[in-house]
Amino acid sequence: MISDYEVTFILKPSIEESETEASAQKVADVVTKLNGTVKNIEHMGRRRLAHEIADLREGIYVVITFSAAPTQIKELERQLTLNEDVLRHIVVRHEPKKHKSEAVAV
Amino acid sequence: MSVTKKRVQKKERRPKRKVCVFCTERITEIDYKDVSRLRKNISERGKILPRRISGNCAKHQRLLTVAIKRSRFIALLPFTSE
Repeated sequence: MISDYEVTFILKPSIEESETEASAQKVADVVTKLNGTVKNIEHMGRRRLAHEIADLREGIYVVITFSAAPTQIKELERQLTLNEDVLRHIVVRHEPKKHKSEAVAV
Repeated sequence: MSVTKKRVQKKERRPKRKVCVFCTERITEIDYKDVSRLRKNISERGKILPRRISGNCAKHQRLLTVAIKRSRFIALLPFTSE
């Protein structure tokens, strides 16, 4: 079984602009390694955090949409916590509702 | 028209019935990354507005609270703010 997911994570602000792509790709590679397929990598850019995380006030937001087996999500989350560039992450399931069938029809 | 007028006079003033903004826009999913939309549903202190204030329907209020809480976790919205 395969489901659609979306992971949003915050990278440390100390990362240079040129390195963000590489850091985001590193997470995408983890997804691929876990037999998932990356659909989209969206860079939301540098943003002010609404509250401090690890004494930091800023962060670089990246959203990756992918599909993978639900059993692999735990491992992905583990890898994300081990990744020192990632301040925080959230994995959310993208439930395809009637919405999707409409999209397919179009 | 005259009936409603009478009622207003008899009982205390009844505020205008609000309708759920999410229903009027036919939204089925509330994205936790949609900060501008979520901001409209929190107070200045960062609290989630109750249904009686926002006028949201129960279904959308449930989706909304989850979205706001996710949004707070990822620091897009504050937990509190003075």
